[in-house]
Amino acid sequence: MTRAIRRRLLVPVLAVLAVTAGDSVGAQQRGGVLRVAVPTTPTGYVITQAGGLADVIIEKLFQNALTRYDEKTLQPIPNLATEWRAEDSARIWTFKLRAGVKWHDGKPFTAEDVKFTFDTIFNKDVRARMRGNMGPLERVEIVDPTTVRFTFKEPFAPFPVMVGYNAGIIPRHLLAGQDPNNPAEFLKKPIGTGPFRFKEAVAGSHVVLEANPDYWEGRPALDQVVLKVVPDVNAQIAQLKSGDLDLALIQPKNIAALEGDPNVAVTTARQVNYFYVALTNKDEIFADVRVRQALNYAVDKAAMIRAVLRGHGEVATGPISPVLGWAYTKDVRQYPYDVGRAKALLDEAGWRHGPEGVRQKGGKKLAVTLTTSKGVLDGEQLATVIQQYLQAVGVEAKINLVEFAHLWTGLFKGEFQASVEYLITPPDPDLFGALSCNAPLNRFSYCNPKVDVLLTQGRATPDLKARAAVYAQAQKELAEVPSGIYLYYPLEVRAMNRKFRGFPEMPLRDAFQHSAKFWLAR
Amino acid sequence: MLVRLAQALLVLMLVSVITFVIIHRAPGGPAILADPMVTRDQAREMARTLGLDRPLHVQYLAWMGNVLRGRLGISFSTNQSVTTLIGQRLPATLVLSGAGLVLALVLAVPLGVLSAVRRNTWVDHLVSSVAMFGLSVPVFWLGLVLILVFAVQLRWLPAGGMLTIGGPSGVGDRLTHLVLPAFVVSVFGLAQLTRYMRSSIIGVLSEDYVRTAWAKGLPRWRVWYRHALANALLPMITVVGLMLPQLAAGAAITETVFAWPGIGRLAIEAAFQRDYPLIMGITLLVSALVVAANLLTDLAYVYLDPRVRLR
Repeated sequence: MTRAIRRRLLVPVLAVLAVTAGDSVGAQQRGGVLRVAVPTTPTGYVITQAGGLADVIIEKLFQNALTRYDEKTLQPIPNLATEWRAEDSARIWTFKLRAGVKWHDGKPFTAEDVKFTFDTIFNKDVRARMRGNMGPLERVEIVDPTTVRFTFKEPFAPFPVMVGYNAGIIPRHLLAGQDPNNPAEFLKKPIGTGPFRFKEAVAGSHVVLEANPDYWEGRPALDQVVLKVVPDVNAQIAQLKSGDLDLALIQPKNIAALEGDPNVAVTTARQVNYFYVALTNKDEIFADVRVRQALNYAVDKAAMIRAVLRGHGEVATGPISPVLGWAYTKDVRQYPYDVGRAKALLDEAGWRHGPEGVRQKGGKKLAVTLTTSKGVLDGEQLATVIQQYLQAVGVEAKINLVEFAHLWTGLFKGEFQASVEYLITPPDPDLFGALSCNAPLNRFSYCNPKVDVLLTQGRATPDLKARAAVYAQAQKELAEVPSGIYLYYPLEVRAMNRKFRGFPEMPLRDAFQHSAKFWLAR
Repeated sequence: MLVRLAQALLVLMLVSVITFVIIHRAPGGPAILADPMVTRDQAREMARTLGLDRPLHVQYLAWMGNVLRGRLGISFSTNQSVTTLIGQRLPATLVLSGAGLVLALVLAVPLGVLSAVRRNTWVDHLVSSVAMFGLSVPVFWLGLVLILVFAVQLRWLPAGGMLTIGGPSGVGDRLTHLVLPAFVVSVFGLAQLTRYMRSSIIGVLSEDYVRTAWAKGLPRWRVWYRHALANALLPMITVVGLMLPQLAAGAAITETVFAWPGIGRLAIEAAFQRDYPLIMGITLLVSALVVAANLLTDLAYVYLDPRVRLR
């Protein structure tokens, strides 16, 4: 099994090497400053700050994680680790580290740094949000100066993906002994092993990073990357047009403003992001799977993509995104827009027509409250559209707008019956934490023994083909017995300077793992 | 005077108690604890390390104790000290709002006088219309239109930021970056001050001492500027005094549109993140400034208006 993994790893590695070589032969030009829009000031300390776009980007520019993602498949490929293997059904993972890598201050990178990073993430006094991504890690051991072994309480096949997800390795020699939540000294000039070094930061305005001449992959093509804090998307558009920005994430509704601009190109890419309506499965209305199925038929997902995303999205068939080509399957029960079937299923579930067009059962109205937040992109608009679709099949729907933070905490506390939301996840199909019975992150109170077995199996199957087969079955079951209303997978829309090259067609956050290859044409 | 100071401290304390209770009681909680990838157990651990598991009054007293020792705490969302964060952003805000206020005053006083002495002529109507426009135009719209015209189309001025990053960041460069946002910040104050100035002058022009001045046969400019304007400016002190706290509170929307690294944006971020220490720090700063500006306004009257005396 372990040999199989190593062999499969070789293919993407070679592919990356080939692409890099192709770009650098003659074509790639050195120099230039790339200016990237970020909504907030990046801090440069990944342990407590992982999550926000600014910190996600800066982490990849000046730090390296153990793995990063292949441009085409999004599967983990070598970064600070050169190879890894699983033992004991993925309960033990051993990582071989790259030799000869240096921190920006010239000190050597070692296994001590890796152990220190994971010990910090798992320190209960440290507010490390990514802890939840790292599975049931039990201990980290240094086998030799370039080998680290991770032992888990339960099998954890997604680990190589998770260590590449906003988990840059931090330097032990500078951080040991400092307050792990607020290493004030370190933050004055944070360092990493990454392609760019920290040069200058002005709070609220910008951060300048410069090429690391000693980078282990070779000196990056760009001289500098500047992260410019521009919180307003309209201001970002204006700065793109005026030539003050080279790259920004925009929304489909902004595309028109950039159309025909001679200097700005708009591209799209698939991303690990899906929009859905979380239905509380233990709610007396939604406990009946026929109601959940009916609501999936009742909303016209394709129309929502056309109206809300200007067509830049795909109909969601379940919680696993098609960007994970190896794991995603479309071969599941589909829910085309079908008012007739929605009504028939509701009839079957005993919800009969009542006064004012609202169905009822045993004197109780079929009434649903859709909670969402302005913090959910287009959330309010989506809720309004869904409200109308539901009313059309005899479901009374109310909209409840709450603060973004409230949306995430309220559902767990059972405060909301249904909520319109989205999830950006690491590029792995693991749904154990999100959908297995009683899992801590199960937002749906979903409990399906068949799914539980599959999700447990998926975590214990490091072999990619076998794992894909497990998740294909899980997706089938999750479509047959849906947890909520799956809406769509939006495409990511990026606006960039037409002279900007070498930017992979992968999600922007992950594309920065390949920033050493970015370049600007003269 | 001592009574006034004691009152001021009481006001500050009340504001801090009310703000503290409201932000802690609002549904939701700090954004760092409300993340779809953070489990409830983990959120509870994080809340403990932030001291949020203690009773509210204990938390408040701890915060107050720190404030009395000159510490505003550590921001939840950035883990940096609140004093540092405010210190980093305050200069940018003072520059922007200061320029905006000066611009507003410099333009409003002559426009107000002109409007008053040419009352009910086309000049007055024009100034009044422009003032009404200034009072009602949405700041974000005005800002974006100016960016589109002057930065995107004409390319005369930069589209945002405080200086050219990595460029010649001298005084000239900073001034070109300041022009548009300072104008946008000034517009509301300018419109307001023009209207106040106009009515103040009109009021003063009907005073006895102005009639006496006319009767003495003084030249027009002498009556307008020496007798009328000097006295009409007195009530303006109150208006400007009320605007002063805004200087430090920042112009959140303008700062957002022009990517200006000021306090206003910091406050917005703090509110979105539900960063309790940062919200408290900024609230305390702004309320202290309101109180101080009121005191200053009163003192200015004592100094400038012989009819007012300190008790």
